[in-house]
Amino acid sequence: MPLQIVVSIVESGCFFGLLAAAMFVVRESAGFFNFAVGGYAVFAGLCAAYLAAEHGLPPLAGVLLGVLGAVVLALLTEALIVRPMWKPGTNEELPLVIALVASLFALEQLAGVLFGRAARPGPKLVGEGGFKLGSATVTAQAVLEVALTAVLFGLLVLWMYRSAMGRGLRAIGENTQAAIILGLPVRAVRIAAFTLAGLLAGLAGGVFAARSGVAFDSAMDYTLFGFLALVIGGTASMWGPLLGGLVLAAIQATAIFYFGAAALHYATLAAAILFFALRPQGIFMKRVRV
Amino acid sequence: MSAASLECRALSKSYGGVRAVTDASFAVRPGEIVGLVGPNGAGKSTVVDLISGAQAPDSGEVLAGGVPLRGQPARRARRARLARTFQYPQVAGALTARDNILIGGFARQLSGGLSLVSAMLAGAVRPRAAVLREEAGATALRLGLRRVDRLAADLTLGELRLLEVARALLQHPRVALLDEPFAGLDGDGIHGLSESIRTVARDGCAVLLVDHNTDIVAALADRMVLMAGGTVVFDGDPAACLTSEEMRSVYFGTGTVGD
Amino acid sequence: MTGLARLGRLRPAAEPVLSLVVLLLAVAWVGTDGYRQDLAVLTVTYGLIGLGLYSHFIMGDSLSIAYNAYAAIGGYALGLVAARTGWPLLVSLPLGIVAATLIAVLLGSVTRHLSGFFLAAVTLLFGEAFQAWLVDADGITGGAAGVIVSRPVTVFGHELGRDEIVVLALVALWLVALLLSRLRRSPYGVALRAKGQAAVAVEAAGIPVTVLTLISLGIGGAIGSLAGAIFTAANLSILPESIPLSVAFLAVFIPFLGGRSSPWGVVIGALLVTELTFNLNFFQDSGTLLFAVAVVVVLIFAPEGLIGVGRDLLARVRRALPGGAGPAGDPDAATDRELERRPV
Repeated sequence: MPLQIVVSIVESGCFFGLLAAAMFVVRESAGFFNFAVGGYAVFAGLCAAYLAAEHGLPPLAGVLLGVLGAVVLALLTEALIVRPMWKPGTNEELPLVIALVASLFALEQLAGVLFGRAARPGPKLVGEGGFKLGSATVTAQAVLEVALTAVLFGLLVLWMYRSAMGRGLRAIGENTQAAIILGLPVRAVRIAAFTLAGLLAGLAGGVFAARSGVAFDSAMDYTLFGFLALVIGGTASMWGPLLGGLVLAAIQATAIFYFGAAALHYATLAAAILFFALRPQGIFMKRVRV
Repeated sequence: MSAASLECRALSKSYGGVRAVTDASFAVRPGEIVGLVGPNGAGKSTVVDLISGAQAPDSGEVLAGGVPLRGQPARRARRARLARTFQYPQVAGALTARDNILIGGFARQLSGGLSLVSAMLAGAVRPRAAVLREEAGATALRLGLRRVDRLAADLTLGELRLLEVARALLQHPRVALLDEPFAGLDGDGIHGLSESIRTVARDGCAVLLVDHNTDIVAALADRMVLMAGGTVVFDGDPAACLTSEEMRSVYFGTGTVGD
Repeated sequence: MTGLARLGRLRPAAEPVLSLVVLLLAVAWVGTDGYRQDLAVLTVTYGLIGLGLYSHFIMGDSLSIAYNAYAAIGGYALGLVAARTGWPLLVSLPLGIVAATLIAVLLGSVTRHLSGFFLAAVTLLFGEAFQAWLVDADGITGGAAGVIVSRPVTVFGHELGRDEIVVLALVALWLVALLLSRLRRSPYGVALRAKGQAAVAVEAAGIPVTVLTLISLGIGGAIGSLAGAIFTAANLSILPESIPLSVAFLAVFIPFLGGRSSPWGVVIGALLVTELTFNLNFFQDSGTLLFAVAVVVVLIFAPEGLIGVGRDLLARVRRALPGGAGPAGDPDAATDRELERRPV
């Protein structure tokens, strides 16, 4: 396989990794999967592209505004959907699942209505430069993407494992019922987690949009790819989402290389079925007190 | 008296580094009520889970009627006519108490793949299970659960415990595992529940009664098993158990048994 | 026994009769009017997809959302049998149903030990992949051009015109709703409804929960396939975008709008959704957004839908009547509930 594809895999892997990280943070702190993250990413990307194209905003400003929008949407998701619907410790997760899937759909449509349903090229944050790596060309955009991902993950690792809040977040996620009784700031931690999720997804959507453009109906794909990356990489470590992202990107790229563009969805589905079925024990939502 | 209805042989279970149950062995004969008591963390609920199949033991086995019990809880429940209640009541809040209790009576109809399909088809044609509904209501009333047609989400914790017992009784079990059924009950509730337990035992069911209230258990049980720190430290007459050295040290701590 | 309670006793027998009356009225109303027939077909399609979802999602708390695929399987089965083979068209019905059922069960079994998020994800992925495949595999599916039902639809020699197909569609919707309503009250239905919240208990009572779930998913796939077959028979053609993934989302919305306590709520909801999308054309662009937002709103504020609102009103009327319901309830239970439901 040509080296260029490997470069492409790394870029895609970073994108999926960031989305998976956004899900990871919410998962660790609250125990469920925030299916809306794809919507945050698409919103940020389209917002940045729209502002740059229609209002002549400098790309960086557009991306920052897009990220801000994503964070706002994430917090709205938490306040309007999660807070009223989520009951820790019960077996009822379904209302939340569908509410999040519905929000994903709503966010997608919202982005389409606000920024148009046509695909847009992303705002260019860096110039056209690049360098040669063997037979491959590594663009400045690719360097930006990988660097950003590395920095973000590095910060996340530090925060999760070294900071008090990061550790508290995981502790609350482990046993939320106990945390509530003990008077720990469960809601505050969840808000922090959602803010982080919006930030990560927004940055992913905004920064990576320049790579191959962004369209409103990609939100579903982004969420599913992020989810799959998280499942593949596992939640045992903060690096799991990134690892899972790279693996998923590799699977997709290999499939496309050998079987053509249409193989993307088939390969992703096959990967999902394989990983879901081979997982020795599932992820159970309820906290079982035995 | 033939072979034991329920027998635990050298059950052991660890979680991570914690040894929840070590080498637990005891038996319950048909029609016998055995009380399983011990302080928190003694391993009582784990033993119940190991018997019902909710957890798999690291070693040892469970036998019902002399036959080793294996497989998922549903399979065990059908094979051994095993019924259980849960320490934290597991009920469907969106259904009425009666509907929740009814589930206990469905095992015979919904026992496996093909029978499920045929029950589904029959259900699509004639949905009423009137006789079972009556029985569910009557069982509940006998236990002292009057608000049978209220949504389970509206019931008190004590009523939920009675609901669980009613559901277990509807299975017409040969082995009954009752996990903390008396917690949260008032005098009437305790009386009704005790009577029902005696009745089901008289019908030949082997009852394993787990509860904190050693006095109630001692009054009801034919035998008492005391667990501490994951091991069985006493197995015998209830009155003797209450006054035993082991009971004193376990509950009041002389530091000699079950640290 | 109060008058209302006596009415309640009659309900089981009244259901098939009353609904049959409504069905006959609907058939009479639709008649031969082309526009009304289109409305009817759309309502039936939405309604059947909604009922399919109902059978596992509302009843069993499993979200399988690949309904674009199930419907497409049923529709394309009819189209392909008509266009590519000489077999009697009726054969396509069981073919489509079996295929869709198998896929629904497969997806369910892959995620059977995992939380509901996994089933939702894998069925969404499947729905997308299937949509892509319909365009891609143009050798089999006719690609973007789809398949045209080139033969007239004949059943045992009798040719069915559009009028008759529409009537059959309405009958199918009525029948499936009625059967599901009875199923819901059967032991299977009660066990299925309980397992979403108390799976451990259902399992402990001797009922294998995974088998229960898989069967419910299979039923959903079968009903979805039927929806596609009817849609294709009425329109005499099917394209990859005839029944897109977004329809499955709207179908999720339908039971929440009409009311979850009965399959008839799906029928009501389907009617409403069809009316709104079909007739109010200015909803075109922001229509789907509005619906998606509405789903979320309804989920939070009116989880019982129209039927629930109706029930609330009925309960209030009952309480206002002399000899109505008793005191406000046990204060302890109220406190327990309060503690449980206080948002964190």
